[in-house]
Amino acid sequence: MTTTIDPTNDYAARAEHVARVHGEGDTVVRALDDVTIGFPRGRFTAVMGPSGSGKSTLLHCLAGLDDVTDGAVFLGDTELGSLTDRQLTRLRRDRIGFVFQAFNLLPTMTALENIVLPASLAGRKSDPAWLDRVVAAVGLEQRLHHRPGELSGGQQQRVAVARALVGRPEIVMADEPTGNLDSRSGAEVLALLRDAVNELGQTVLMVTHDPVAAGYADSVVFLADGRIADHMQAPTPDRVLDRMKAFDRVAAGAGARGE
Amino acid sequence: MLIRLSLANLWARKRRLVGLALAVLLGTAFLSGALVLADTMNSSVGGLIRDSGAGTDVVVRNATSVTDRPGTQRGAIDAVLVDRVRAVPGVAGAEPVIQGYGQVVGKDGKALTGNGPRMAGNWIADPALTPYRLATGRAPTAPDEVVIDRGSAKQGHLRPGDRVTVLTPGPVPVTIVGVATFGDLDAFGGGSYTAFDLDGARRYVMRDPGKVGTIAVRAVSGTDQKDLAARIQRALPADVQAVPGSVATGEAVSAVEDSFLRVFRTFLTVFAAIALVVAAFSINHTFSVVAAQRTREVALMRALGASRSQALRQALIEALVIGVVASALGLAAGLGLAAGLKELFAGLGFELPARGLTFKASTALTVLPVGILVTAFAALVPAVRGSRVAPVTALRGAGAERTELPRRRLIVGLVLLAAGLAVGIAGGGLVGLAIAAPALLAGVLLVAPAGIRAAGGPLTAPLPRLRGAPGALARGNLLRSPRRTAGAATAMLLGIAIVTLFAVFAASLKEGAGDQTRKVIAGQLVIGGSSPGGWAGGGHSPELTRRAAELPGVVAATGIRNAGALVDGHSRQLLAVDSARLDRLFDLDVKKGRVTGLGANGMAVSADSAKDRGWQLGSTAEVTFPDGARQSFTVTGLYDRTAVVGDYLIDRIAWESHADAALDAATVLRLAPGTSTDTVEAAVERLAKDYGAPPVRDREGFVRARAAMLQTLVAVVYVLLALALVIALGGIANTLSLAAYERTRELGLLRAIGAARSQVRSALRWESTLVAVIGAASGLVVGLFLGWVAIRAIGGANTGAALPFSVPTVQLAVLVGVGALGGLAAGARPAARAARLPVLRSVATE
Ligand SMILES: Nc1ncnc2c1ncn2[C@@H]1O[C@H](COP(=O)(O)OP(=O)(O)O)[C@@H](O)[C@H]1O
Ligand SMILES: [Mg+2]
Repeated sequence: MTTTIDPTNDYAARAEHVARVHGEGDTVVRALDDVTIGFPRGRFTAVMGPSGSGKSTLLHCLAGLDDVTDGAVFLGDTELGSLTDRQLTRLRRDRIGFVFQAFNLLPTMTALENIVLPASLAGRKSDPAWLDRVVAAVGLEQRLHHRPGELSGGQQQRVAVARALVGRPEIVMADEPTGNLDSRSGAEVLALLRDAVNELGQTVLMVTHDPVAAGYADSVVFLADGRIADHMQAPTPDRVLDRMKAFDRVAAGAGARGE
Repeated sequence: MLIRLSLANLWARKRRLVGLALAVLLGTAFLSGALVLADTMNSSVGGLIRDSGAGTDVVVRNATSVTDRPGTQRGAIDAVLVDRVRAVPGVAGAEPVIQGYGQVVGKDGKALTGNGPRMAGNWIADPALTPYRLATGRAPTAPDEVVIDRGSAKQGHLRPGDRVTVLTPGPVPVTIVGVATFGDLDAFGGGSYTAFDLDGARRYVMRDPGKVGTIAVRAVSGTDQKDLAARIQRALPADVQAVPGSVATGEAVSAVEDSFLRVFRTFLTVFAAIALVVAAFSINHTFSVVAAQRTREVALMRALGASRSQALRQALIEALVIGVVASALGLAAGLGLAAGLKELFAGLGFELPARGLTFKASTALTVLPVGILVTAFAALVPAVRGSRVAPVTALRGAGAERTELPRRRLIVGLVLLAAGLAVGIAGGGLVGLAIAAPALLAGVLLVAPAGIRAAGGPLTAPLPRLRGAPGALARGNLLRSPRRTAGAATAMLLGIAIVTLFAVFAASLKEGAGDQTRKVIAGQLVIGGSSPGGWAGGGHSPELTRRAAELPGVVAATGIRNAGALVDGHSRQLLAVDSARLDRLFDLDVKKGRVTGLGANGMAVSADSAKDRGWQLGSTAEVTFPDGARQSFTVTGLYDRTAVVGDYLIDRIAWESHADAALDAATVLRLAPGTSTDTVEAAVERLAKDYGAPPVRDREGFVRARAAMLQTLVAVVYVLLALALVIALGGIANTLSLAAYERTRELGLLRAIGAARSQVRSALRWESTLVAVIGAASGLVVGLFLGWVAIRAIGGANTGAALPFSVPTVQLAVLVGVGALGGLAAGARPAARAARLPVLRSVATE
């Protein structure tokens, strides 16, 4: 299964024959191996796979945070490989929203300051109406002037989601956004992302190894050993779990489970 | 096991290791440098004098000593004694030694001045009896031939064959026939030496063919110095003494050590102490920067089952390793620093008579323990704190960086601050200063974090608006932990406070001295009197004074002559003047009696000295002259103003019959009313050309020139203080780059969400600049206040007129500007490095 690009489709981001190799000689690791995939606009896509399968690497390459060894990545029609560091920086600032697993916020800034940080880095003001709407959507009206240290993990992650959404990016990329959260807080964050797709038409790409999280997505892409192993539309946690189990049996040597 | 874990831990965090070691190294290097320089001075000056006297077994000299100031001579002795000494059995050789004032005039007609005595004498052929060695040319064989020291030869671009003038102080046209070294040095410190042949030295330097200064004796080998001295003594009259060479050398060494060297050593010690305090704060702060991570590590070890003492031991071992290695490196770096300082001083015209570097065990025994102890202390504080924090709390990342400010510290700080201010304002002289200064500084340091929290927010509020996101980031980092910010600014604060204190002090002293000089000189013109560095022994021929007095428009004139003598058995500096019209030339603020027409037996005394000696008008003062003669003087006048003239005035008639009097240190001229000062000045200048062109100045010019004499010393002091500032800036740079390293993830996150490299750079630069400005501004305020207290303390301790409080605005503005720019520069490297961090690695860093 090498081709998952439908030329008639409109993709927010895509990778074409992407390879990413770490190290040299004996220690060479193929974190990504000939990956071709597209992420349709306005959809919520989850990338799943066991630990070490290359999920984070794929996300980093798509965001221009990491260089590809081979192949090409596109954001909309922009090919990232040809961009300078400065252009990549602007692209991340203006066209991508990030949510990491942990350490998403600057400790010296209030929640509100963190949310508008990309805009102020660009020297812009955020659209106040939109800001209000996003803040209301993530339920943080009462917490805007607290610092990260004064917020719970779930609240911090919701601030991060708000930051990712407020710039109306072409795509929101989230790497295990619920990895550090208890299940209730995790559910809140996932619901937020789901709502962003349903109500705001946002494109979301989420890396996870949690079947429950994947259940919030419109479709799931399975990675194993740096390759695309499978797809699933309209996933449910049970189906994803079954698929993963089968997958584990097949690819027994893919690496350790869990984080 | 523990040791291996500690070492592994150190190695794993190399960047941090380097940063911590650097802080320790900087501090110890300055301490070590100061100590090495002081020891070098001590041993090499002593060594040079010992070397120069090494071959002299016995010195025959005048028995009367009126002063032990280095560079001054005893009275002369009869020349016929040379032959008598030569005849004593056991004497292998005896050479007359003549030494006096002699100043070489360069080809451009200007005297070759320098920071040391200008000496002339006779060339001594016997190498055992002189430290001077011919480098090029030959010895003088005629009265108008001279050998000069290589320092002067280089300074004036002179070589054998050149014809120049030597002022002794009358102008003597001579031909240079040779260039000599002092041992292996170009010259003795900043001094100069011109050697005539014996005839020439008698004629021009001694000005009395029947006399010589001393006689240097070389013994037949195997003869005991003491025995020979005793035997020679039997051949001498009572007013001449023969002393063993080792004794004479010892006296000379201790004379130098007691005067100029003691001042220098004290000064270096003070500098070392300042450097140490600044360094201690710097080291301590550097460790507190990594405290957050340190605390987490300790907590992790505790969570894994390490006991508190194990965790503390591990921290201690790490600190010891850093302390020992870095202190040892600092010790070595100090040697280089001392060598550099020596060169730098020479460049400033402050040549030290030193060769090589002296490294004493005591330096190592001071620097190593200090470096190690300060390091251990600085490292233990965060470790102890870490071991107290509950492991879970620390692991979750909270509580690692303490942001709350203990109320007790604030209260203690406020109390100290208030006490310091109160004592300072109340005065209380030097004791008050000694209490106010430490109390105030400690108070400021304790209150600083709260101050930054309270005032820092509003003060930096415009920054985000002016500088956008980077400004906001810098501001956030400054305010996130006021204690950390205060810590970073502390070294700067101390450095600037001390420099400010000194600058105010120097400016006020200068201003005060200028005021006094302006008041005391009643004449309109002054010739000479401003040799650089204030070396005694300089001056011009009294003939110039005489001829200037005869110029049209001059109504009164006097030469000022330094006259060392014993007053009631105490070594004192007298001034011999032409007292006939002294009131026209000096405004001495006479309290009682008169200061004019002192005659052969009259003496005018400052009111202070008279009080000390218990004298009144009409009291008798017993004076012993350098030639051994004693004479009683009657106190005829008491005066208050002692600037320029000193405490004792006699007439030159009383002086001339007892000592060589052919040198006026300065000349003061009074002009007739309505005479143009400029016209007379031009005429005097034309006259002065024949006498080595000593400077001719009006009163203001003289005041300025006297002030400039302090300039070299002030410059040297500024160099040392600037080094203290460098430590402070180095500390800021170091802690900033460490902080950036500790914040790698934060910076990575910033870059990931779209901060440009330039924005990251700008944020860090702003942070360091602000820290420097905070430190510099508060240091300035503290320094100004302490300067004010110090000036009043000195003014109070001294019964003389109170010193004016003078603020050198320009220097201080430059100082604060340099501090701020230094902060910017200090931040440049860490900021550039942080901006270069690969985003992905930063985000991924655990
Ligand atoms: N900088 C690197 N150097 C070497 N190997 C790396 C590096 N980054 C990732 N890898 C390897 O690439 C593979 C994929 O890693 P990653 O994308 O982080 O996996 P995932 O996010 O799915 O757990 C792993 O085997 C990992 O060890
Ligand atoms: Mg991952």
